[in-house]
Amino acid sequence: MTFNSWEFLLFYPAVALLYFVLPKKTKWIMLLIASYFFYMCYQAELVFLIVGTTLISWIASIIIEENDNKLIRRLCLTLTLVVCFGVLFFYKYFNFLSGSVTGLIEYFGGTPSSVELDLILPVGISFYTFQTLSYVIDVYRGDVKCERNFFFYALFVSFFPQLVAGPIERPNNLMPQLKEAHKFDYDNFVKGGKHMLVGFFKKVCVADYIAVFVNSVYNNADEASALGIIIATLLFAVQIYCDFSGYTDIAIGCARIMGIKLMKNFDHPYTATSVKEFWSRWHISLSSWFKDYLYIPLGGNRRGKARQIFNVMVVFLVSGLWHGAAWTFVIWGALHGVFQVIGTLTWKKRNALLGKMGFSEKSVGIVLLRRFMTVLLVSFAWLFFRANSMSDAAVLLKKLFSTGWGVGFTETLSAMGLTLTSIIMSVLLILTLFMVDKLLHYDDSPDGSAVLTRGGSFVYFIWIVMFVWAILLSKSMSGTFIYFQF
Amino acid sequence: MLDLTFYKDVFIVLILASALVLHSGAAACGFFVKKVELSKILNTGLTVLNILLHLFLIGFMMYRGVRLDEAVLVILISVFFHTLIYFVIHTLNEHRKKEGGDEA
Repeated sequence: MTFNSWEFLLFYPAVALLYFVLPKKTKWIMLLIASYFFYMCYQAELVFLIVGTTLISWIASIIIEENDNKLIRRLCLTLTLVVCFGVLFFYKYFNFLSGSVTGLIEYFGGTPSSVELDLILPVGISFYTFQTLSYVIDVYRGDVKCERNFFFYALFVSFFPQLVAGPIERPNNLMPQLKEAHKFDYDNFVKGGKHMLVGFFKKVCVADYIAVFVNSVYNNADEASALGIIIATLLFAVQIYCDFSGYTDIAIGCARIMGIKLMKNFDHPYTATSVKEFWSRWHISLSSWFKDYLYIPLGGNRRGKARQIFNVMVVFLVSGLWHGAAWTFVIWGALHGVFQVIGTLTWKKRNALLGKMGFSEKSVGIVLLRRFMTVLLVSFAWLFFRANSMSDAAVLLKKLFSTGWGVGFTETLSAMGLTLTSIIMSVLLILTLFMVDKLLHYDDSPDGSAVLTRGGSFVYFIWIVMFVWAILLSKSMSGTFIYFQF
Repeated sequence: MLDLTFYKDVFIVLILASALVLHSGAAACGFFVKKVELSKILNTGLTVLNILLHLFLIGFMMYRGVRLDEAVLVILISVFFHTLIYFVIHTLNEHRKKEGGDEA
């Protein structure tokens, strides 16, 4: 049951209605049942994994809080980390590691016997594992008080809007809100509804529409031209943003209608002026998780430049692996690490150079140039993220850097299936997307619900119409979210 | 390569333009009409008219046998311009609020 399915359009209103109708004490119990039902609609057979992870982290957190003995506390934390990461590793990385080792032995002339298990990747495992670990680490650090009610803690881990693709919530933000019994609030309803509609618009109208043209290039790497690769990669940058931020918007909207405010996960990432800033705007919940639980414990930037570079590279390599068990993701992460390291090391020199040339680093031209460069670098890295395999990525790279475009502009567009109608539609959709994102930002600002909010009701009505028409055009709502595979 | 035909139908273009005029009016009400009650009534009235006009537009396109992808494009053009008008007026409003704040 994905967000963009008919089942969810029946499930969610029923849950929201029950949430407001039920007595205070039973609201959270209903949410827990609904969350597990939601999860079991995906993979009922793997529900034991989420139950097991929840139970182990809950027991560990109680032992950690009740014990003053440092050794026991540390042992408990280590055991939880080993078990949770062990489960994640087994289901997500075992075949990848086994395949890589086999490939390496074959490369050196050996004849290894392949060990590949028939494993199904549990939906959302990376998300809920990180959420449970943030809770246990926070309890260990004394930042969060241990939750004594197992079932309530289970709700924190499995809260359905953010269960399968984030945002990766922190206990300090989500747990107190889940404990409150929220009443129906018109303002929350309108704002949550807007978030949901914008999310659906991003996913169904933009991401799914653009995906067709992106796939036509990436699924036929051998026949792609350099120009086609550039267009498809730039379109993929839009597609993945709409796909993932669309999911997040729907999740935030679902929770907001019930009075629960989830953390912001995207903040206009393609307006960033550096790769470093990009990561403070893209998948914020994951970036901040890595910062708080990996980068800072590794020493952050407190132990000299060399150690800082090492720490940044570790974080981005792990981030790449988190996104998927394939070398393409590792390279994607490494590229971001390298971009960030070079960016940080040359930041002062570049600014000094600008000063010597008589430019201000805050001038519009320089800001736009930096944004353009950031989009180029990030898009280049997306090539590895989207490529179906390392061999495909190599083919695409070779074609991209070969001399000449390969074929003409018109031929490239027609090979991608881009007619004039679809080009106009893509441009209009992307421009509308830009405005929609900005309008949501206005609505989130403290005084955003002033004079014109009601004037916008019609715009949202039009979006609904657009949404229905997009469904008619695509005949079904079958496009799954890219981030589900992580 | 130009495979569109809807724009040759003057009625579709006229309905679309009328909808945009109505939307501009509805959005401008919130911006220019100082009396809140009057602004609300005007806004609601124009919005209802606009919705009816769009329903008529969809029906009209079905009657004329407009291709589905073209019909989606017509609605998308409407979405784009409606959002653009709302966006411009909302941005102006944000600036007005900021200037008001600065003066204060």
